[in-house]
Amino acid sequence: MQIYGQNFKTNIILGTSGYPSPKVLLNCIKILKTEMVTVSVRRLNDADDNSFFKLIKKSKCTILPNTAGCLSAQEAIVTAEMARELFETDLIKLEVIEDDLTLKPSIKNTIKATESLIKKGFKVLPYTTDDFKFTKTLESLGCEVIMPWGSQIGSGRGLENPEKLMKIREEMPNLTLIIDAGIGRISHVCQAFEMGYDGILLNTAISKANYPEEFAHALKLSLEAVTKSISSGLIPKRNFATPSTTMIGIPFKR
Amino acid sequence: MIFINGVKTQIKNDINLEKILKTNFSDSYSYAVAVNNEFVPKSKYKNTIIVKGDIIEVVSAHPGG
Repeated sequence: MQIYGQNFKTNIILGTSGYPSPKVLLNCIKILKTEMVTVSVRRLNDADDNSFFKLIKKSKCTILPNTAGCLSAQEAIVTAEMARELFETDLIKLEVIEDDLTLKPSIKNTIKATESLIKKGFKVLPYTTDDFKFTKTLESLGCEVIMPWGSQIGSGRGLENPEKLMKIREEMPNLTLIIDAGIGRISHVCQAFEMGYDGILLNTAISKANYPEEFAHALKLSLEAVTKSISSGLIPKRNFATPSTTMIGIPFKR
Repeated sequence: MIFINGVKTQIKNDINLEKILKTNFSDSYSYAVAVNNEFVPKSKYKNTIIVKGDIIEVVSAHPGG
């Protein structure tokens, strides 16, 4: 998976929220050999002891800060600027949502924030819907990576509109495309890779599993399986039946 | 009165941002700052004067997805 010129051996970006403990998070990172994690910025409070920051640095993963929860372009821009200084990276996972209920990306504000952030030298990874025009606009603004949702954040409903996601993949073959949000099962991950997506960003599916490390193991195995199956050369889909047994020599034929 | 992370805080006179941060947060924390919805880089803390009514946001790293 290539992200703004940097190659990653693993194609999973891991969210860091909601794990039963920091140790479980670190174990999942180790099991998956994850090279990139996403983190947020929130108000510093009395309970903070910098331990999360230290933990993430200890993991040696590339940090992908996000603008989760931002409702306007300006909020997202300022959050990105604070994150850049805090984490010393130009990478930003841009999330500008329409509302707190659906957490649906705002097309207008995501485009507005992307334009501004790219001018400020950021490497923007925008979180989008599966709307083709939306993603095309972001590509034209200079985004090298785009992250369409599979379905709503934390819903676990998987890829709700595979045809729309397929169109994005087919129309933008050179872009790094990462499914962000909606993953709930291993089968969703496999489906995304079989459609030609480059990576997956997931959090809730793993952190809220009863046994996150078990899920991480299963995910690792599934990544090996789906990668091997794709490189084996999958058969094309056909609209009509094709017999697997030869029709030559079939008995009882006149 | 000013707001630091949403909490009302009294100031008697105009004061620079560096002093406000030193008073309210430990040096051992890693944080970034915005004032009135504009990012303020570390290099400008000393020269940024906080006046009554200003809204300061101080953020740090948190888990996120």
